[in-house]
Amino acid sequence: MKSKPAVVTSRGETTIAICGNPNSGKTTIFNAITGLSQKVANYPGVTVERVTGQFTLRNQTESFTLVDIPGAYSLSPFSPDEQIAVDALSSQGAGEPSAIICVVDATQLERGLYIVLQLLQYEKPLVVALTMVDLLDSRGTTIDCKLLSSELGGVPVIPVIAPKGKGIEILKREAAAAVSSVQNGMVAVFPDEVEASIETLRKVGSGSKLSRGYLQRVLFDRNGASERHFLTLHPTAKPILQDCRSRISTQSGELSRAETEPLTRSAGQIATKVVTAQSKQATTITEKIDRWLLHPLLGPLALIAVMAFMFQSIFSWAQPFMEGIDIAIGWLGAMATSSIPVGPLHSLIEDGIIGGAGAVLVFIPQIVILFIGIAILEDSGYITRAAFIVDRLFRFCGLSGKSFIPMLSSFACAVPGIMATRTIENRSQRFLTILVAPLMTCSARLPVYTIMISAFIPLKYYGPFNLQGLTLAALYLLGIVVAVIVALILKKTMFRAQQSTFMMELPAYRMPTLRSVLTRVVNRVKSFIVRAGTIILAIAVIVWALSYFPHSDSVTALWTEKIEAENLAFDSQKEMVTGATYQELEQTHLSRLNELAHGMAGDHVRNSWFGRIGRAIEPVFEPLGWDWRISMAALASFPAREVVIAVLGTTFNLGSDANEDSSRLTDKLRAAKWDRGDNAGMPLFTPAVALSIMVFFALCCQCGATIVTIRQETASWWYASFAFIYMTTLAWFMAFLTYRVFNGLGL
Amino acid sequence: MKNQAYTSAQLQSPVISIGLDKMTPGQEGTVSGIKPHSPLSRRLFEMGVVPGRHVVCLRSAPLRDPVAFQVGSTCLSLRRSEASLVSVDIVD
Repeated sequence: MKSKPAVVTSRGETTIAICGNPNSGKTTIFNAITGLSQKVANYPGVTVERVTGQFTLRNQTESFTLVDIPGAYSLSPFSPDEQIAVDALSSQGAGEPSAIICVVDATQLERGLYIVLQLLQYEKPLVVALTMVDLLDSRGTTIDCKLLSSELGGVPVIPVIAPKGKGIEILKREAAAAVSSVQNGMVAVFPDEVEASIETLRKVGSGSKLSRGYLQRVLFDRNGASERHFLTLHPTAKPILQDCRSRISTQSGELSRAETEPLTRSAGQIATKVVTAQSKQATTITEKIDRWLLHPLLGPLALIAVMAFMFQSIFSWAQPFMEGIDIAIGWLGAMATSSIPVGPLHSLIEDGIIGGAGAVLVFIPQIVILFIGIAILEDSGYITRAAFIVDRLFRFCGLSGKSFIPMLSSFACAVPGIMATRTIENRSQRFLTILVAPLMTCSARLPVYTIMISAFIPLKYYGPFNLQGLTLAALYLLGIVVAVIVALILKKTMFRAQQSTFMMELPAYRMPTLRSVLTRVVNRVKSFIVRAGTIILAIAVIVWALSYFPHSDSVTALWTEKIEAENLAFDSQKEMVTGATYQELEQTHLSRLNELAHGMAGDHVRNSWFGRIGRAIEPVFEPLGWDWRISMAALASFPAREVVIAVLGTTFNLGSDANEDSSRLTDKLRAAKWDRGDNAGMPLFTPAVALSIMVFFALCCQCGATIVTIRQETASWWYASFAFIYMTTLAWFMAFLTYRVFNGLGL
Repeated sequence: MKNQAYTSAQLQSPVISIGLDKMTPGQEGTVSGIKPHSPLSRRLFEMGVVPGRHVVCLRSAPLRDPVAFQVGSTCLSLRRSEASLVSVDIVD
């Protein structure tokens, strides 16, 4: 190996990429190397999640950036995920990896070597990390790492047991050393026609430094990203490329065979050489577990039980923690505002920041539990079994078994759910999943349901069930049923007759490690808090400003007068009474003052920009049984639906720090009356109105982050607008129907 | 190497060639070919479904589709439509 200067990124750090087959233990190694230094950012241009982490060697100061590349079986991409991997590995300029760590599962050596052989064509420094060697030992098989290394042209091969941290230090050292080395290149031998074609293409592209790997992708991936890139640079090369391909096809029977056959053959030969004492293995533990978990009858039952347990734990275990955070935020708000005089700044902090963005932090415990659940399901290998079980059912609706993971994640939040669709190769199934995933009941809908149900749905018991719980279950079911119907309709219209694929590996079961699960959860929660601190905070402040200004002095003066009058009346009366009567009088006085303060707040809201817009749009929502205050709360929740609680609090004279656990907010909602129109003086909320609000929130696309994510993942505003329009229209009609039916029943 | 083990068995028993999708759970065979010119055929190759490889049909999903196969050291799940691209030699 010769020395060469390392490619240095703009920030002065050396980038090393880590790649490998899905389920090869890549993420475990990545977590073991980088720990909590991980950062989630976007790939430049394509806006795709890019996880990076830092590491340094013992007793050294130079820092390396490790980039986690999505799992891939081959560099000829099959899914959007794999395309990202290939782009990242072959990128040039800033962010270009100076070295590559390729993770290979020792129990799947032959298949893992396939991508290693492809990577060698890129002439980039490479290090192979061999995982699951402990599993191999237990089967009485060994791999000669030295021999493997020499078969691969001198690439270092490091056995690693990541969960125990074994081999990690050596791997770090080798990766750092590889940065300043030059790799010898490919090992596999291709047919003559392929070699001739590569030479032809190299001549076409002369003048620029082209790696063998890049040219190989141009040649073999019809209409692939590399071909498009190459033809943009050399528009005249199209007939040359076509000529090369047809000659290879004639020689090898099929274009792709000319690449896959030599690579498979080499991988097989190397594997046979380096693996010693391969014993005919007995039935594996995985096979024994699968007999139960994939049993025709017990399998689906186990799946339902696992899901039920997960959702149950999200709701019950999170409760005490959520209450704790709620109290802490309230205390923080009181501390922050105690020294600030009443006025716009006081209101901004208390109602806008603490009441708006702070309320969102209450959901952290639910998100933690959900991500622990998902991490365990994924790390153990069970999630692929779930996809296997449901595939036929999901395909009926135009989805794929692989849609299961995105749909499941969407019960926490549609944003990670939509991102998780990248493993679905088929475009129509992927887009369909993206379009219906936001219908799953996300955790942000829960507070709306909780408060409406506890205020307006009576606590009646039917055997072991109660009406409140049944209503909540019905709302979850509503999202699922509507998603199925929408998917069926879209399958028959927008995404007709698209061939789909499902092929998927069922990896061996593995015990999830505490470290890996915790690393993922902590990193997820970090990015959630960042979101709450940025986008949600911004929306909360805007809503606050709209409902605070113009803070008319005449309104303040009018109510201040009333308050002073009440104070005077109390002062004059309190002289005349003593003892119990005095206490009673003081109580009445305090509650009167309270009412007057709320009256003033209410008048300010009515007079605010918010109130004015609300009254203007009232006719739109009137058929749903809503007045201007509910309409405005719903409208303000379009950027993020969890905002609604804060807005309802403000508009119903409570101050926006009211939250879903406040019995006072439910009391106030119960006491709210129509303030104008034919029904003036009648109760505003009836069970029919509450149900219409909940159905609206269940189906409406009230989430700016979701819209932006759909735009990013589909690379089209068209799909983002479509999702928004169909969901909003559907929400309105279903809420209308709900109100009419239940109002007609006299509820 | 597994291929050789199979060849000795071939001498004694008649070989039947069927589509991978027609295998029943528990049945064993050897991959004999993959239908070319399908986007999936390349990926099947890359996942280790290569002529000569030993295949065991493990089980089908509760709704009969997809089907799980042991191909070499890999456990793969394929829909029946995908499995039909692969032909296998079964030894009776």
